[in-house]
Amino acid sequence: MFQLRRVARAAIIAGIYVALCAAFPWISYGMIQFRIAEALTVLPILYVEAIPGLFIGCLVANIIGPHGIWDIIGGSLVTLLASIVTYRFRHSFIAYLSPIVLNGLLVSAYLSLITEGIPYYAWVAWISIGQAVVVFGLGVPLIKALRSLPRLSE
Amino acid sequence: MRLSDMALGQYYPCDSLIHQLDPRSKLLIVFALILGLFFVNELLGLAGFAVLIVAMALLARIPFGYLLRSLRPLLVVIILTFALNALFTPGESLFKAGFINVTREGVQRGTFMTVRLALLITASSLLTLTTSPMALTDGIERVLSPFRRVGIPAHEFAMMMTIALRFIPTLMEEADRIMKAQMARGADFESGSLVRRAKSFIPLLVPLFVSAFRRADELATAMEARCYRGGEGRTRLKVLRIQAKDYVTVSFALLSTVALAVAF
Repeated sequence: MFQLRRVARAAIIAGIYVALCAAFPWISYGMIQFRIAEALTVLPILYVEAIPGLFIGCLVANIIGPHGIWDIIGGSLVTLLASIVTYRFRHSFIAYLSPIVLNGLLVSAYLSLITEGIPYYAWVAWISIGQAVVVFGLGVPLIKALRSLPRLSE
Repeated sequence: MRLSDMALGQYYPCDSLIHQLDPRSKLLIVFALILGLFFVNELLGLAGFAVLIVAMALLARIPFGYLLRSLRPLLVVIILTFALNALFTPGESLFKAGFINVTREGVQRGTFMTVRLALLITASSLLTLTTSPMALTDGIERVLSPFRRVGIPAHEFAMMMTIALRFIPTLMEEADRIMKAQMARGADFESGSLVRRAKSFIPLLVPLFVSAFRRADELATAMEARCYRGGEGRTRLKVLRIQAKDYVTVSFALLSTVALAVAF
C-alpha cells in the first residue's frame, strides 16, 4: 500500500508540473523562461517521491512543448539529476541551489550546441536568472507553507 | 480564457501511414535524422534532409503550417543564431558600418546554422505531431523494458506517465478554479516585480497541492482495491507490433540518412 501511494503521488506531482506548464505556456516555453512549475524542484526536500515525479513531469511537459527531442531527453535528465541532488542535500542550502546551478550549466550546454553562435555563458545567465527567480521567489515560500501543513508531511 | 479548454500538446490526429507506424519506429527515425544532421557539412546535404522531412510530413498529411508553427517559439533563437554568426565570423567583408562587419563567410555559416537548427526542430516535432502522448508512453515503456534487469522500473515509469497524462486536464481545471477563487478574494497574479509576481502564486500552489495529494491517496486506494500489483502479468488493450510498413519506412529513412551523411 505504501509503495502504491508513493507511485500515485509521484504521478500527481508530475501532473501538477505539466498542468502548470500548460496553464502558463508563455512563461514556460519561451527562451527567457520563468517556468512556475520549476518551483516544484524544491519538493524532494520534503518528499522522496517528487524525484520520479519531477522527472516524468518535465518529460511530459517537454513532449507537449515545442522544443522537440532536445528538451524531452536533455531537460528531463537534468531535472532528474537536480532533484536527486536536492534530495541528497535536503538539510542544507545546496538543496535550493541545485535546480538553479545544474539547469543553468547543463541545459545551456545542449542549447549552445544546437544554436552554435549564441555563446554558452549567455545561455547560462538567461537560464540561471529565470530559475533563481522561480526557486527563491516561489519554491522557498512553497516549502515553508507545505512544512506548516502537518497532514501532508507524513 | 478557460484553462481546461486549451488543446494539449502538438499531436495532430490523422490516419496516415506515419501515424500508424509503431512509436518505436518513429523514435528511431527521429534519432537517426538528428544524428545525421550533425554529420552533414554542406548546405546541399541539409537541403536533402529538408526534402526527406517534408516528404515525411506530406506522408503524414500534416498541413505545412503546422510544421512551421513549431519554429515560432524559437524564432528569436533562430534570428540570433544567424545574426551572431554573420557578425562574428572573420572573412571577406560584405557590409561595414562602424563596428558592424558582415562577412561573406559569416553569412554562409549563419545560413548553414540557421537551416540546420530549423531542420532539427521540425524533425523532432514530426515525432510529437504524429504520435499521441499515450502512444509515446507505450513506446518508451517498451524501449526501456530490456533495461529492467539493471533496475530501471520501466513499468512503474510508464504507469506514472499514464496517470500524469490522465490527470493533467483535471489538475488544470482545479488550478483554474483555485485561481478564480483567490482572485475573488483579492489575489493579484499579474502585477509587481518578478519575485513578487512569483510569490503571488503561493495561494495557488498550496491549495492545489493539498487537493492533488488527496486525489493521489484516493487513487492509490482505488488501485489497491482493484488488486493492482505492478507490471507482472498485466495485459493491454492495444498491443504494439512492428509490422511490414515499419520495416520498410525505417529502412528507407535510415538508408537515406546514412547516404546523405556520407555524401555531404
